[in-house]
Amino acid sequence: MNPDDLDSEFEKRLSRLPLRTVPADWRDEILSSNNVSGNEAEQDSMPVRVWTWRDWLWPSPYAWGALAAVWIGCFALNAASTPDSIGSTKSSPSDPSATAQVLYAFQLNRNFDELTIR
Amino acid sequence: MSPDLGALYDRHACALFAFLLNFTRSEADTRDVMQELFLKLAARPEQLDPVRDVRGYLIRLAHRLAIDAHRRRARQASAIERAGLETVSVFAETSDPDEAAYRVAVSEALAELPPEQRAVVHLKLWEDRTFAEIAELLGIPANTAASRYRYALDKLQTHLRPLYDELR
Repeated sequence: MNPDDLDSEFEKRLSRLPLRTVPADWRDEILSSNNVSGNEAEQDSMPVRVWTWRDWLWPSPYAWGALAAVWIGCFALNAASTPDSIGSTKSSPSDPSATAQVLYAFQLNRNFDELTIR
Repeated sequence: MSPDLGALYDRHACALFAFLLNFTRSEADTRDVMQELFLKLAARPEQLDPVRDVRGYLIRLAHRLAIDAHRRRARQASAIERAGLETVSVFAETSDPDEAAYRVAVSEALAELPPEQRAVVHLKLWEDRTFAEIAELLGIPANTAASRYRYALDKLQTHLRPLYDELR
């Protein structure tokens, strides 16, 4: 027996009940809203969005400009507070004493490794 | 080729109306969903080009829109408003008083079912769909469609048994 068949009189009687039809006055309302019917020319000529450079500056060119200004300000402050400008005693990477310290630390590390391997 | 939306409406509106009215139990919601459905078809008419079963496609779209509308309404409406749903009959009127009473009783029994069971019953009994088709339209497994149908039918029979006993 096909499970899709209506196998009881109850089901068959239900299926014979006539359903309400859509109210006639709905047609114009549904089809005419937003010019659904008859305006195919307008639908065909709907504008296609063209991306411009302004779209890439979303949300606003002004917002991006302000953000850029903030970043520039941060860089400027950072540059103003570099060791060269305030006479810091910190050594630069090109300072020979710094290089010697790095080499010494490297040597210590190697010695430690040799000790642990044994 | 863009479909003739007027012809589409004339061919499928009754079926959509009946399904949506049974599913939403609200004429206002039914009208809103149908309007939204045809707006979507007008905005993208090419979506029907590859469709073979247009009726099924429209019912599936209507079902999804009805669920979205119900969720929006559930968020906006208070519990009291939600409880006061309008009483609608999904069946045509008749002059026979016994038949009229039967149709009202069936309509009320359908209203007692969960919406998803109602959807399955409607598509099975009045759209003559197979469980496989119903499953595809509603986005559920075929076994689930069959189960929901059986549960719904049992509830309907229980609800209508007094009426059957009275009519005998």
